[in-house]
Amino acid sequence: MKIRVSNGLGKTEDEGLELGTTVQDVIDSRNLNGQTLLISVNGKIAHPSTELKEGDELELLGVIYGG
Amino acid sequence: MSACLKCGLPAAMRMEYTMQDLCGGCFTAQFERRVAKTNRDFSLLRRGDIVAVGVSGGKDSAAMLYCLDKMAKRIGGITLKPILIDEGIEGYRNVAALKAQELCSQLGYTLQTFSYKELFSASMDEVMARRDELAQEGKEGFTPRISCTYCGVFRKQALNKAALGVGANKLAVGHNADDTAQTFMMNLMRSEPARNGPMGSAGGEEEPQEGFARRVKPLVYNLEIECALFCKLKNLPFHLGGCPYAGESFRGYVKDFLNGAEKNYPGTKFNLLHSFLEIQKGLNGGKSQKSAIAASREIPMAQCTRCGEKHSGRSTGGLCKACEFLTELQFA
Ligand SMILES: [Zn+2]
Ligand SMILES: [Zn+2]
Repeated sequence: MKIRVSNGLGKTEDEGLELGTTVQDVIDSRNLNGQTLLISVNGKIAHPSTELKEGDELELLGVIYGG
Repeated sequence: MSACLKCGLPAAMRMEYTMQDLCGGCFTAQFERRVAKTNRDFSLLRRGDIVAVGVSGGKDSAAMLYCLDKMAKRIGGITLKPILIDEGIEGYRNVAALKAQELCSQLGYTLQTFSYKELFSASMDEVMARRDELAQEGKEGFTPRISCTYCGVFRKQALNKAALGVGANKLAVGHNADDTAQTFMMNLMRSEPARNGPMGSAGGEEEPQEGFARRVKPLVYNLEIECALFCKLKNLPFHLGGCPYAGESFRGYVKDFLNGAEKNYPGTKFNLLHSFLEIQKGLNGGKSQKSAIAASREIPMAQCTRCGEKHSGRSTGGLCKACEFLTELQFA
């Protein structure tokens, strides 16, 4: 299956993902730190264990700045 | 699908440091309870207070204004005055300021803006350009400093001037648990442990020191990522961009280090926060923060010979730190 992943700066497509791939799997495959990410799937805050579906829009926003 | 530990609804996040899965509603309720606990532990707000609330357009101050608004209404007799400090960083603060404006309108407040340019006659962009010019010229006796050193001094003074300018007795700043853990680490790494004493405190007390609004930090019990989650779940407008000058800072290094530590050893940041609060008690001779703050009021303050600002008297030539920098940079 195919999903779209955005980091707030740009979008990329992840293709050939196996059924049952979770948000955490994508985070790990990109070697990101889940503790600093605002995670949403299709615009809604999502748990890392969320299983992704074909065509999902996954947003992984790095919260690393002041404010 | 993971379920919320508290209510059983589908969980929206996992808090690794407590190993808890929470839904959005239970998470935001917990966030607000922690702000209320901070208020109790450090006596932040009370009836009759006029509180200047430093907003930046970022997530922390957005979450803070939302929570303080609710708390002020619950306690009653508290006036909140949102203020924004415009450092004059083109492409950054002007963009974030729009979000701050939007947030204040949404919550029914009028935002008042104070700029470095009008307060110090130089914007941060001008300060940085001048620093590089003087460094390039190799001007004798000139020590170029990193951006955050200048900006930190200016911001602290600007916030205080703004707070007093709007008639506030307290100044709420959006420092979260991450910021506190970072500052604690930085003080240790620079061998300045005494800086973890009363002046780094989270709390407020009844009578502010002459010439200062008492700083209160309602978000010290919440992590940075939690502030972002809170804003997102409450639909509060915020800007996530970074300061273009931030790359130069020691704080940035410590922040990256702590984020890595938190990933591998969840709970590190809160452990540091607790260590900080315990060590602070030790530094203050076992006294609570409140009485230590009262004692710190007895330290004599000097008055800047140029701008009249009260300061600790540690800087040279009778100038406050801001005027010292402005003189070095030939703005004064
Ligand atoms: Zn719940
Ligand atoms: Zn001065």
